[in-house]
Amino acid sequence: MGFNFKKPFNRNKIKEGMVQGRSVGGTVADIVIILVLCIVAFICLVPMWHVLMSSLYSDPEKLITEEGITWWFGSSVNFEAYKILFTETGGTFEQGNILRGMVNTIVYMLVNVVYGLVINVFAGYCLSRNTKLRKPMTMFCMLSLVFSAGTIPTYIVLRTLGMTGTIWSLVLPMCTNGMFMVLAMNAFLGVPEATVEAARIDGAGHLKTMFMVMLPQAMGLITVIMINTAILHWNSWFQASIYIPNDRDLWPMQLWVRDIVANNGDYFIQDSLTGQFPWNKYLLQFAVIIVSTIPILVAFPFFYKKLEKNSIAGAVKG
Amino acid sequence: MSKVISKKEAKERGIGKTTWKQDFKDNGVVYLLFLVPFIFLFIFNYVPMVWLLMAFEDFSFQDGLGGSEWVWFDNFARLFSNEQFWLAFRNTVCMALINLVFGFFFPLVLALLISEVRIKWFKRTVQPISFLPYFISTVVVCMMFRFMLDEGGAITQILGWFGVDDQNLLTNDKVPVFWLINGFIEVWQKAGYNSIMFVAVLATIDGDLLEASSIDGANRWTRMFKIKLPNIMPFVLTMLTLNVGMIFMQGFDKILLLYNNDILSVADCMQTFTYRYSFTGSNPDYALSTAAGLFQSIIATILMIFSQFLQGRMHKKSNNL
Repeated sequence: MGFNFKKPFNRNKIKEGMVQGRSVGGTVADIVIILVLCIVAFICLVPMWHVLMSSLYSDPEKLITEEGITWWFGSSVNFEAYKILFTETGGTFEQGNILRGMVNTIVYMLVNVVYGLVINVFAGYCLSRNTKLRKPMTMFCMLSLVFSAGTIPTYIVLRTLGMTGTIWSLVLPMCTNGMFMVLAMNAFLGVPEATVEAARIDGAGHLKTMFMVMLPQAMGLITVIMINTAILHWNSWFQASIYIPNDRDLWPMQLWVRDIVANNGDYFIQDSLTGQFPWNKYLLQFAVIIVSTIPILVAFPFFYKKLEKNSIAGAVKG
Repeated sequence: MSKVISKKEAKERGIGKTTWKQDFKDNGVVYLLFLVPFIFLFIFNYVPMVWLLMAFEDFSFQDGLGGSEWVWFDNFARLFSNEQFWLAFRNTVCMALINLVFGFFFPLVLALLISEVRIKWFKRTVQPISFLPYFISTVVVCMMFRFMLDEGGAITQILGWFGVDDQNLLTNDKVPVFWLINGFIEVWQKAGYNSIMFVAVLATIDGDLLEASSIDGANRWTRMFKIKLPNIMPFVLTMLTLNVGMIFMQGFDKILLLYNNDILSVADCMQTFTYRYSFTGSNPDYALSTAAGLFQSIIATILMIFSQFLQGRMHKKSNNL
């Protein structure tokens, strides 16, 4: 009970939750905590598991009437839905299909991350400097965040610029927002002013100070911004559904996912000649979810590490 | 005479009333750099605002912005007498509040639980798993939940154990059902991501403090409520005020993916209202839709200013202490 006097030399190793020694109450609490966290982890994972198993289900006809979670794929693995997904949905790669959608999404994502990086870094640096116009500049960025003109006016402007129906409508308008700019400002404000002043005294100009002195030190939060931009574009479908509704070759992947799942009925039609249902097409909606999620899961460990490491920096600044 | 002294004083204190000329000489490059984000925001965020004027017009695409008849506040009068609009307004406020409360409570509890785990490998496994849903796209998340909320779906079945009838929960138009579904999905998606910051702040609490309290006989509960929570409260409050400013702008695409005509009375929010009036139906009403959007923007701006004000107050308070 209480502090364990046997280990006085481990002082610096002691962290929260490790202080108390073994006691009956403590052990019960430990078990309860671990159980609750196991349930949380279970809830986080089970929807994906259900979809994965459903997509591989051996007997799709039976799946339709099955209730609850699909725990296992049945007697054998059934890859038919994936075959249909890659060969029969959409058209060729040029006309647009799920594979094209994935390539499109990755292109949009990369271009936006790069554009966003440049703009956010510039904005962050400018907003963090003590200039006379600092307040109006900050207001300018913040206001754009809350006061939006709405979808129709933005659409009209993009159409006037000739961007609708092209890749530019998805690449340029959304590469940054006020939130990311303010975050970038915080990143630059977190750099110790002494290093900046030293650089200035040594004769470094604004550009040199920004890129050589401040950016390397602010990189942690900037990485967080980049990852969040990437996720934002990985998720985005709404803009595409308005700006390029008919250009299937430009569709991002999420629009395909929505199209295939929401309109599953269109793919799942009774054959008029044989009277047979294409049962495997019922699995299509699950397969498309799995296919569209795999790439981001591959990137997940890398992203997670970066976010975890840098969230401490972000959090301390609050 | 007095002028000279005050100027000198100002210079000494470093408050420095730099002249515009001096400022431009020193910071001209900064202003040039700012042109890049400025042009982007200007074209894609500020130029479209010109078309907000159509909220005051009997707008039609044929006549354009200049040619349409100016009707002053008629569109707003129509908007405010529209029953569906007030339903949408109510739903937006309620869902935003539910999301705000859930969105803080669950990540905080999760972070506290994670910080109490003593087994390291378990901690290292649970944290990424709870984080995982953040990476699954909104479309996929909504589609998955559509499967599970359907008749015979997983969630419906679990609720069945507690006496809820087997039904498609997404067609239930009783008051809190859709709001709770929306809140649950929000939490499922973001709890792990939001908790990571709280975990990080909890990790900065001085280990000696916890150790000392333990020697003095504090148990887990006391430590949690007397040391951990008070220590992270300032951070939580800062985040809360920040989020208050943003609540009117979130989660709209989730609702657009989940709602249907059966539950329009509880699921419709301001953005979907705006969306429906301009993109669906044979006769889109752009003016009304823009008026609704403008109304929403104004409220969002007021909330933002309010949250900035609160932050300023809190900052002052913490400086005084």
